[in-house]
Amino acid sequence: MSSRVDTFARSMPTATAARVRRATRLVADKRMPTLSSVFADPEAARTAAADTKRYVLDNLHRLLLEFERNAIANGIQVHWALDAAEARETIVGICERSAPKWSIVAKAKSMATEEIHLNEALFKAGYPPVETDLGEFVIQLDHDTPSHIVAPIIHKDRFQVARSFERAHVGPYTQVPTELALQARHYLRKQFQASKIGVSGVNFAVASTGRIVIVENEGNNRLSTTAPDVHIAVMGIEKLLPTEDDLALFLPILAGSATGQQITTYVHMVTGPRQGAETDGPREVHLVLLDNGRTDAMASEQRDILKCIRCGACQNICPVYRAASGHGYGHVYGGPIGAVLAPSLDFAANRELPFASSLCGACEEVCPVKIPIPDMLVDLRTKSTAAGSWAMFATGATNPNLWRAGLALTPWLGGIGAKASGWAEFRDPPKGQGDFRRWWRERA
Amino acid sequence: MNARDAILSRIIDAKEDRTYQSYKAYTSYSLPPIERFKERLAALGARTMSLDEARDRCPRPAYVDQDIAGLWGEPSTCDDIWQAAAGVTGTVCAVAHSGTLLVTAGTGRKRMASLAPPVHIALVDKIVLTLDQAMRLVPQQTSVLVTGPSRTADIEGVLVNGVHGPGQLCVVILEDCVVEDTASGG
Repeated sequence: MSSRVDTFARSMPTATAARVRRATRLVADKRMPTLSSVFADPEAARTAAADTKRYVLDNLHRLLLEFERNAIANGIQVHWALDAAEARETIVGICERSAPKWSIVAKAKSMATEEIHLNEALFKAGYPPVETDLGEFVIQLDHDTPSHIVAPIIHKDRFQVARSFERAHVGPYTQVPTELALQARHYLRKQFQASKIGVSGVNFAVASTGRIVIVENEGNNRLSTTAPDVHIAVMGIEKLLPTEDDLALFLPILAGSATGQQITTYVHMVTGPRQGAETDGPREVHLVLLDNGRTDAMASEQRDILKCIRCGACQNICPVYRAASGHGYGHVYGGPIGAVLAPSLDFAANRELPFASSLCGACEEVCPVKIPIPDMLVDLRTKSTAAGSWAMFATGATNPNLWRAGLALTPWLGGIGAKASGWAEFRDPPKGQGDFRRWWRERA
Repeated sequence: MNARDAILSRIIDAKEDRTYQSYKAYTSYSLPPIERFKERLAALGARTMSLDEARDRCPRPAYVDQDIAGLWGEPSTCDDIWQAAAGVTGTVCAVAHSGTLLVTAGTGRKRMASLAPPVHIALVDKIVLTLDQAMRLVPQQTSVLVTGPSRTADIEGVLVNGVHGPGQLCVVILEDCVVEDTASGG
């Protein structure tokens, strides 16, 4: 087990843990019934989705060029960014060219922009971003971070949201979720009307038509990308699909896996800026194609992780995620997907995450693109162990007697480890939790 | 070397250019397509009504897309989409299987018409059976698939309609509405 995740799970308030468990189970239970209500054979649909994504990765060079050519023809301005810093620089540059300083940026929920820590850069540059997805809006008011890739405030309850809204003068305290949502609607409407720039992520980019596709339920994404004069979209280079026909498979499989819906309320298919005599829509559409470690992952054993369509099904089903929430992983991508993706994008900072799994295999079973997450976790563990001081942990963890001895010694070990090596940097040993096996025997 | 060339040079495509098999076999249903469409809309919390009823009950002022103003029978009474109490639009087609509407941008239409006002009224004159059939009809312009009213479940998983987009979706299936089955690839 990973200490970062372990320690966090143990420190999580009981009520928070219960909320995360309940919410994840609710969505996980809806997944299969929904997919079965859409596809004649959900298993065949998963196989086809995995096959399509494999094809995309195998032909990415060609598909990216085809997409770029068509997107430019549609009037989209395409930018490329090797890493997070270059992406931030590009986006800030577009802001500076298109709006006066202190203009508000309407921000739609996007994992890619979380990944590159865009909000801090926009604040610093004088273009304050306003998160407009209800959950992300609460996260921003609370200076918190999202704990789930689909449901960012899965760890919060209505009372916490109400207190945040009251504190930030969004609206008076109420315990009714409908009233809270409508307070946010009212407050954020003014932001949409005032914003000159909108920033969003991308769910799919279609090579054959050069269109970007964004899915959502609230409508804040459409507002962020339609009302302001400039729309900036950020996407990982792996998000391509060959044709629009492929959306007929991917839209339902994404929605079914993510939220248990047959399809999301809105599927925004952005061709480009306003055309001819159109009276609304952005005047400029920019797209930033982001590498940020993805080409490295492509060349590694973890290549298949780039098939991921960010549905969060693996998070909902994972017993470790359910116990620790996304915050336990200490990275924007938590849960099984994060335990592979985070070290694949940045190994040094996240090499302990592959240990945050019981290898039960549930994640692979629910993955809509059949990513072999458990196999990858085992590979990454080997890599992590080979990389240094992990050898000590690995020996201890695979030998039951040593493990028991280690647990008994942990209060001492912590102190020694901290002084002796970089060990404690990554792993705070469990503090005197006693012998799990003995506890289990007594309990059983 | 710029970022574009650097990224492209680092992507190693697989040697063999394999193809892939897509999958679009949806569940079958026994209802006639129009009834299935209505059933899905009801399940999503959207309403269906006749053109007359929709016009009677439409909150004012209403923004009406130019291309369907004649069909609607009333000109637009509000050009500022932020102030409109309702947005009335046409559709390219609707999908019976999922209860989805395909709405597209273009001259004489506003992209915000189906989004900013609290009520969206959509006129439907063509229904296709499944999502893949609709995908073949998506025009070159920026388009949107709309399936039910705007919703969120961010607070404790409680479903709330109308958080940002229209809280009420009203669908008018026009009298001369056609049902098309293009499964044969036609």
